[in-house]
Amino acid sequence: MSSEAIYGELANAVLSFDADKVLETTRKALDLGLGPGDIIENGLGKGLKTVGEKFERGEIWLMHLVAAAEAAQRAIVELLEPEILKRKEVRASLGKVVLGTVAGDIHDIGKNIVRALLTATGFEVHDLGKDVPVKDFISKVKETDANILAASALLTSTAPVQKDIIDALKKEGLRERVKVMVGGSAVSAEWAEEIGADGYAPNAAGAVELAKKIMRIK
Amino acid sequence: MRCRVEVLSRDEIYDIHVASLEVLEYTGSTFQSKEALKIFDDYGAIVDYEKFNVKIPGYVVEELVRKAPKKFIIHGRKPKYNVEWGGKKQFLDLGGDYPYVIDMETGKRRFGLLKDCENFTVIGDALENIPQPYPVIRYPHDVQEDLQHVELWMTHYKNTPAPCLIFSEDRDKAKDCVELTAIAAGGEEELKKKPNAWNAGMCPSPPLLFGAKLTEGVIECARFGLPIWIMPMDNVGATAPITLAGTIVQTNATNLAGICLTQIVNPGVGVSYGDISVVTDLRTGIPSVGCPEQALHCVAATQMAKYYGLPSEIWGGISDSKIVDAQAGYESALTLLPTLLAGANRVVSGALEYHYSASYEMLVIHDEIFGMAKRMVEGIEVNEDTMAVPVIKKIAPLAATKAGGHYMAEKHTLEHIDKERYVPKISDKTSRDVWEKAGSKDLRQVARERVKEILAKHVPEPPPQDILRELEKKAEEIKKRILKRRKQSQG
Repeated sequence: MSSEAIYGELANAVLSFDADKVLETTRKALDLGLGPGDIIENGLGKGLKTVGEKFERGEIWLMHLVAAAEAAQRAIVELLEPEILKRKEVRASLGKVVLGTVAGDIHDIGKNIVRALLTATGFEVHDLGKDVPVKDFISKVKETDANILAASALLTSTAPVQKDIIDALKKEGLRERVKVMVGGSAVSAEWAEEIGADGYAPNAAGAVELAKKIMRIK
Repeated sequence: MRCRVEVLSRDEIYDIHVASLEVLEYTGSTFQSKEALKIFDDYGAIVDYEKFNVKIPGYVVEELVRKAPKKFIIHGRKPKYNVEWGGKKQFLDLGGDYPYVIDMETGKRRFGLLKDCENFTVIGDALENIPQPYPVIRYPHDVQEDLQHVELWMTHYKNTPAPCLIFSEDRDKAKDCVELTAIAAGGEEELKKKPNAWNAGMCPSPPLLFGAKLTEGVIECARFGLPIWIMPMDNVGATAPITLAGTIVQTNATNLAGICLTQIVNPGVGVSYGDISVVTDLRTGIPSVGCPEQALHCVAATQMAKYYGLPSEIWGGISDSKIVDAQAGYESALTLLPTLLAGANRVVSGALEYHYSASYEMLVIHDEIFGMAKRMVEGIEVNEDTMAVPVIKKIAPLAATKAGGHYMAEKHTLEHIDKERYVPKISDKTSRDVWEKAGSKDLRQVARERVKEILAKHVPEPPPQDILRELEKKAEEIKKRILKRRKQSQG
């Protein structure tokens, strides 16, 4: 089987929105000797690009976009990243993102969609989960030398924690090293500006665009 | 379970039925057409030629109404354009007879023109919920009165492959249109076998008065087996009793009288039970359509149509407002939704200012309201698959984990999206940021842009060129005939 054919099969698996099929095809690609980086770039990535275009054209719904991204994310996290580590390769990533829903807030669906889309797009995502204390964001940024810190808040009562994070980054002398993205229902562009964040996106697709912009990727 | 709305109990429906029979048998209805009087007379009704009065015994009414079909098909240019009236089929109609149009550019009211007839047909052709679009302006101001039906027929035919329409204001006009329709059908025999048009309406004038010309146009259509659309326009509190029950008795009796005539002329010809009643505004005397009594009346009329098992055209769904505003939206929705939930087959769209002005913007807004209401009619399907217990069992425990749990990427979700969800077409569902970036548009502006987009891009399936040529020739011939008639009558 030619590598072109298997890349095509990977892309089609993503377009079927079926995670099992994506995992199975990814395994097959690895067994055939294809490199994990190539599988992401030429196979899964191509499929996701088509999914994104279909979504933009209104041919498929948000759920399809999320299903495709999560399927690709699972293949990357469960199969390809371990393989990269095993081969001691350096993964070409678009950037490192530390992600989490802020302390006091357990509304994480938006954050999870952002995680799936960022991972599937090629970012290295370190997801801290929900109800994440400020100090955990800070230590993860230090540990990973992240490019972006992305914090979400759904409640108006928890949005101020985003400001606490920025203040803590300043206190630790990290503010210049990391860009801060904020999102969630309680958040707006005005709020992002008020607390001194670097950017805000109203939805998951917007978050990916914003992350790319921050990393100066076209 | 499909959603249902009822305002009359079974007993009340029966009481109204009996009361209507009493009116028809003892008071009778007025038919100004000599031909109609003779048809009733020959059938055994009690006819007073001097008073134009027709009294039909109750058992005869019941016998005749039973002959009308429960549902039937009007043939489009191809089978996929066929339209079924009756049963559970529900769709949006374009209203009609509006003298005015709200101009999209100026926002001002003006007379309807032939171009508007073309535009409304094209937009209706493009919209999802309008399977039989037609020229909503019946008297285009830029066409001479006696030629209007020919121009309208041609404009309609050229701009949609949906069934044709007979403009039957009088017998001659009906005959002219039937001639054209027969060519489109492939001959008179084909037309009778597969009716490809419906009659533009038997519009009795309340109380219980059937004008001569319209009635004779209807008789002509019924003879050819073309379905008839009866549309009494009782005006609650003015030309009908102030009580809704009284108006319903009168509307119902009017429908039954019209149905009787069609079934004597051609037993089994399709006929739709109609109601375009209005409610007299207590201060202005203007016929209001966007009021709670209208909604109740529409539901009651739908129930009566269903009692007789007949297809129904019930005009809930428009507004008294003069512009596209909140009043236009809530009045349309509050009269359309219950009418549809009651099970009416056809409801109305595309107008403002009671039945006075056609509105381009409201047409696409009504298409949206109808889509939402139709989804509500479908109700909630409850079965093992839709109750989704296995997927809940899978996802709910994940809520506590770092990865989190949601249903968006589940197979069950993707499989059910199309059936479960209505997809809004013009309503704004975006975030404030996105909405502001797109120009902070209100619905009126969005609707206007949608109309312009349709008019710029939508090309209705063109008619077969050979038939079109034949029709154009025939239309010229008919017009010459009319001009000759005009000259003769001018002496």
